Amino acid sequence: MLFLEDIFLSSRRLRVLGVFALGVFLTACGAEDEADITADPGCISDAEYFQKQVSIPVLEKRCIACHTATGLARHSKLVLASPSESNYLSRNLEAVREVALYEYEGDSILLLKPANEIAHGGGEQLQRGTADFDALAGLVERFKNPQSCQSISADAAIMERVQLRDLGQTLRHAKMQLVGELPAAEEIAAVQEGGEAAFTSAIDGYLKRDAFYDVLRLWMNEKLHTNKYLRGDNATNLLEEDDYPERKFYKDLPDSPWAEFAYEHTNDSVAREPLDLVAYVVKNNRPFTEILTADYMVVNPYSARVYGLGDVGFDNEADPQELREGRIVGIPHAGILTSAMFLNRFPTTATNLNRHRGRMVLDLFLATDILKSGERPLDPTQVQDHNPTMNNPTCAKCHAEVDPIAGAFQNWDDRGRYRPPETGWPESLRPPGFGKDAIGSEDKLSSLQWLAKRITQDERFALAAVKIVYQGLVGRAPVENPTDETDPRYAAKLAFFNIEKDFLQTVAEKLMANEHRLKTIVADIILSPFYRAVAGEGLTPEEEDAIAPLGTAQLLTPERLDDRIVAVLGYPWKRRVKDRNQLTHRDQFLFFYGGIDSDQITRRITEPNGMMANIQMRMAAEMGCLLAPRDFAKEPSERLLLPFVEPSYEPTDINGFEVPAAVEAIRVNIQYLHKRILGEHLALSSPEIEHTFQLFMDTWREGLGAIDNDELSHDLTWHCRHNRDFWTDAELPDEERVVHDDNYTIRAWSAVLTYLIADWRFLYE
Amino acid sequence: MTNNLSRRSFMKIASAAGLCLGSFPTLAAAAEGKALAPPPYWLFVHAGGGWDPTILCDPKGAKDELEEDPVNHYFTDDILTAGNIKYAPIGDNDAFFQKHYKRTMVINGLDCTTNSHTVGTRNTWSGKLAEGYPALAALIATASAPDSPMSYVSFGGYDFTAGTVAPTRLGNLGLIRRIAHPNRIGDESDSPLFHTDKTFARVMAAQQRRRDMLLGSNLLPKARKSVGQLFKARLGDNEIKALLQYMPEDVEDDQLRRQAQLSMVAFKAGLAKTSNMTLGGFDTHGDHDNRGESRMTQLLQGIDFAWDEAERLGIADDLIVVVGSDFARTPRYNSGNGKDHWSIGSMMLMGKGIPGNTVIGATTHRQEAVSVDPKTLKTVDSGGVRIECKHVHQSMRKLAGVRDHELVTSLFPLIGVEEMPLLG
Repeated sequence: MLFLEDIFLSSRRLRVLGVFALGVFLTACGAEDEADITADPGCISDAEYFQKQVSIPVLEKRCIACHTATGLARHSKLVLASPSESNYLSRNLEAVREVALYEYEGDSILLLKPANEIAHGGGEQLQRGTADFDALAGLVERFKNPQSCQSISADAAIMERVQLRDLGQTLRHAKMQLVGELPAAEEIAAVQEGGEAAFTSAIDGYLKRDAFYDVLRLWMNEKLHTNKYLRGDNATNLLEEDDYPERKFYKDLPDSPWAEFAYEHTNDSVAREPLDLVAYVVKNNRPFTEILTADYMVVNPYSARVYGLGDVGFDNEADPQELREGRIVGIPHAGILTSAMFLNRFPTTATNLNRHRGRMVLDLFLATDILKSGERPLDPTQVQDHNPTMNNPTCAKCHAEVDPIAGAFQNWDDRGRYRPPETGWPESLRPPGFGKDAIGSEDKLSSLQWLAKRITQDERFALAAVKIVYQGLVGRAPVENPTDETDPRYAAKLAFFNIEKDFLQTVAEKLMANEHRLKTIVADIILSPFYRAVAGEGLTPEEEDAIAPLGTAQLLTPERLDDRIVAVLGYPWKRRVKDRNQLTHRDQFLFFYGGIDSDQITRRITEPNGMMANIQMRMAAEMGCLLAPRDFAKEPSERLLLPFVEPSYEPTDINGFEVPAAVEAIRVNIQYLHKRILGEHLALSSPEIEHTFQLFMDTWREGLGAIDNDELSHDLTWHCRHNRDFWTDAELPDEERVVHDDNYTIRAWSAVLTYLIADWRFLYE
Repeated sequence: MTNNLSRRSFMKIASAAGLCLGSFPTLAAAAEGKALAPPPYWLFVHAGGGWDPTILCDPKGAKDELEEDPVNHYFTDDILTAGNIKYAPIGDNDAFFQKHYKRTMVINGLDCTTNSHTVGTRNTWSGKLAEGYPALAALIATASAPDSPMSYVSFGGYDFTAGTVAPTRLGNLGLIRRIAHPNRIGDESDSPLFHTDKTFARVMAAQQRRRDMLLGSNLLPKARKSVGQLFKARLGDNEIKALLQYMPEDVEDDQLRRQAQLSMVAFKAGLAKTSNMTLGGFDTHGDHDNRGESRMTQLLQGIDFAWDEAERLGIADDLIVVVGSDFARTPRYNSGNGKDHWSIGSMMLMGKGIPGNTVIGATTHRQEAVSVDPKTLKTVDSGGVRIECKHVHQSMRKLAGVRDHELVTSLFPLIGVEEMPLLG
C-alpha cells in the first residue's frame, strides 16, 4: 500500500522534473548539435540571452516602435513581431540572427545601424560602450560562435525540486476530471505497473467516453461563452424567420411525447451548435483545424429542423445526442466562424466594422491578445493623420493585424446573417485578408472559408488549441508575458512564463506533428508537472515566488464540484431527485459560489469568500446528514461510503469496555473514507485516522448521552431520514427505510462524512 | 530586477495578502464588538465601455448649430454650473450636481494613455497599464479589513485581486439566510439542524486541525495559499449573519441601484470595506447622444441612490465614492453619429476626505489634456505634468492609508510616480 506519508515525505519515491525539463528545453534550444551541448549550470542559452539581454531591454524599448510589419521601418531588413504574439521571441531571434549576418567592413549592421555608424532612419539609438550596445554585441558574437545549453539555467533548475503525484494519484484526478468517475483499483494498479504507457492508454480510453465531450464543451464555453443562449428561446430568437421559417417549430406542435422533447431540446440544441462542432470534430478524431474549416455545421434532429435540413438522415429522430453534419444551401460554412451563435456572441456595428470579431479570432484561435500592445503607454490624442488606422504607426500596429481579418467577416451582418454587401468593402480600409495576403475576388463570397484555411495553417492555431486543453485541465490560463519591469516580482514571473511557454510550445509542435488530433496531447499535459506538481522541498522564497502558479490547487467550480460530489459520494447535492441542484442551478447557489452565466457574468471567482465558505459547509453538513442513512439502507457490498460497518457497530459495550472488532471495523472504514473522499492512502496507525476516529467517538458519546437524557430523539431528523429511493423518488416500504438511530452511530458517521466532505482536498483540485 | 525579500518578510507580507498563511487573523475585533471592516467605506463605480466626460463633468458643447465637427450637440451657452463645477446640460446632470457638488471633486484632463478597453479599465482601477496589479479596492480591503470574510464585494468591473483577498459576489438574496446558517435545515430561526450545535462545532474544530496539518506539510506555494484562503474565508461564519439584520425587504429592480443597495448593507453590517459597482453600455460607437445620455442618467441615478441609502443607514459621513471609466470618447462624431475611443478622460471622487466643490486639471476645447504644475495643480502652458491614473492612485492610496502598507510597498508599489497633492 502506498501511504500519504510516502507520497509527501519520502524523497526516495519522489519523481523529479529533470527529465522533463531537459526535454522541454532541448527543444527550446532549437536544432543544435548534441555534441555542442554543455551542462554547465552557468551556461545561458542563446534564447535566454536574447530574451533577457536584448529583446526586453533593447528591442522592445528602442526598436519595435518602428521595426514592425506596419511601422516606419517596415521596409527595412529587420521586421519584428509584437510581444502580443505568443511566439514573438523565437520569431524575433531568427529575424535578428538573419540581419546580424550582414556586415559592412567586418562589422555587423545589427551594431552599425543602431549606433548610426551607417545610415539609420531612426538615428542613433545605442552608443558604443553602453550596456545595451554590449548586450547586442554579445548576441552577434553568439551568432558567430553558438553556445548551447541543456536548459535555460536557473529558471528550469527550480523545477527540478518539485515533487509530482504518482501515476495512481494522477489517474484519480484525471479520471474524475475527464469523465466524472473514480478509477477502479484495477485501473490504478495497471498504471502503477505499466508506467506512463499504460497511463496514456487509460487516458485514451476515457477520451472515448461521451462524458468527456461534455467536459470539452465546458472548456470551449469558457472561451466562446455561447452558452449565453441556453434556456428559453434565446438561441432561436437570433435566427431570421425569413431565412429559417421553422426556427420555432417546437412552439406549435400538437401534443405528443416528441413535441415535449422538441420543446425541451430545440433551443439548447441550436445554442450548443459551435460547442457540438468541437465535440464532433474531436470525438471523430478529425483534425482540430476542422472547428474552423468545416464546410458543414453540426446538427441534431431538433436543430436540423430549425435550419430546414430535412435530408440529414438520423438514426433516431428523437435523440438530441445524435450529431450529424448538415449544410445549408447557399451558406459557405466555415465552422465556428460562420455559426450564428458565435457571430451574435461577438457582434459588430456599422462603425466597428467587425473589428471586435477580428480581435476575438486572434485571441481565440491564434493565441494573440492584440490588446496587450495597449499596455505600453500611447498618446492617441496626438494622432492627427488622415485615416489613422491606416497611416499612423501607433494605430496601425494593431489595426494592420485586426482589420484584414475583420474584413473577412464582411459578408456576415450584425445579426450573424449571411448578407454579402452590395457596395463591397470600403476602399479606405485595408483589404480583407490575413497578414500580408489579401482575399482574391474568386473567394470574396466565401471569405471566411478562405480565412479559416489561413488561420489553421498558422502555427499559432496549434498553440491556441493547446491552451484550451491546458486551461481546462490545469484550471487556469497560461501566465501572460510580464511587461512591467518595475514589478518586484518581474524576474519570478518571467522565469515561470519561460518555463510554461516552452512546454506549451513543445506540446503545440506535437499537436501539429499529429495532424492536429487534439486527443493526442491530453495525456501529455496531464503527465506534465503543471498538472502533477504537488509539493516542493527546500525552496528559497525567491524560488517559491517563481513557481507560484504551479500546480492544480484550484477551487473547484460549481460544475466540477458537482461532478466530484456525484463521482465520490454517488448523489448530487439535493435531497430528492426532482429538487434543483443546489450548486449548479442559477436560482440556487451557482452565482454565490462563483459560477458564470456566460452572459453578464463570464469570470469565475477562484478564491473562496465568506459566503462560499458557508455554502461549502452547508453542502457538507447536508450531504453528511443525508448520505449516512442512505448508504446504510444498502447491502454492504453495494455501499459507496460505509461498506465495513453497520449501525449496530458501537465502539464500546454497555459497560464501557472497548469492542475490538467494532473499533477495528470503524477504523478500517475511516481509512477507506480518507481514500475514497480525499484520495489519501493512510496507514491504520496514521494520526489522521486517529483524529477522525476521535471525531466519531466524541460525536457518538455526545449523542448517546443526549439520548439517555432525552435531549435528543432516537430518530434521525426528519430531513435526513431515508424514506424514498433517491433515483426513482418512490416511497420505500417500512422495512427498507432508515429512520431510527437508537445507538447514535448513524449520526456519528454523518459527522465524519461532513468533516471529510468539507476538507480542502475534496473542495479543491 | 530581483526580488530580494527575506523569507521572514516575505512570509509576513504574503500572510497579510492571504497568499500563504502561516498564522491566522483572530476574530478578536469581532469579539470586542468592533466592525471587521471599519469605516470609511470605499465604493468604486465603473462606467463600462468608455464614457464621455463631455456630457458630464468636462462639458464642451457647440457654439451654435452651424459649428462644423462639434464636440457635442448641445450648446456651449447652455452649460450649467454648481459651485465650481461645470457640467453638461443633459439628462440628470443638473439634479445630480446641484445635490452633490459640495462633496464632489472632478479630475479633468486625465490621461489614460491607452484606448484599449481591457488595459484602460485595468489602468483606471489599479493605476497600472500592465497586468498583475490588483484593483485598489482589493488592496484597501486586504490592508484595512483583513479579518472580514467579505471585505471586498464586487459586482464586476476590474476586480482582479492578485490573490490578496477573495471578492464576494451576491446572488439570489432569498438564499442569504440559508448561507448565513449552514447547519440549519430551513430558513426559520427555530428550524431543525443537520447536526447538533456541538457536533457542528466539533467538525469545524477538527477542520482547523486539518488546516494546521496541511500547512505543516510541504505543499506547493499555490496549494498553501489556497488552504490559507479557504480557512480565512471560514472564519467569517458568524459574521455573515450580521448582513441579515440590514437586508432590505424589497430589492431594487434596477441593476445599479441593486448593487448600491447591497453594497451599503454590506458596509453597514461592518463586513465590507470596499465594493465595485459597474454599469456597461458606454461604448457608444453609434448613436452616441441617445445611448450615452441614457446610460449616464442611469449611472448618476445609481450613485445618487447609493448616497441616499448611505444616509438612511447612517454611514454617509464615512463613505467615499470613486467614479471612472475605461477612457473617454473622441471630441467628434463619426459617420454613425457615434464617438470612438479617446484617451483623455475624467474621474469623479466624492465623500469623506475628498476636497469637494473642486475641479482639478483641464482639457482644451478639443478635449486635449492640459498639463498642470505638480505642486500647485494649476494648469500651465508649457512644462508641467499630465495627470494620469497612477497619480490619482498614488493619492487614493495615501487617503486610504495603504500607501505605506508593507504589502503595497513590497509587492505592488507605484514606482517613479510624481508626487501630486490631488486630494490635499
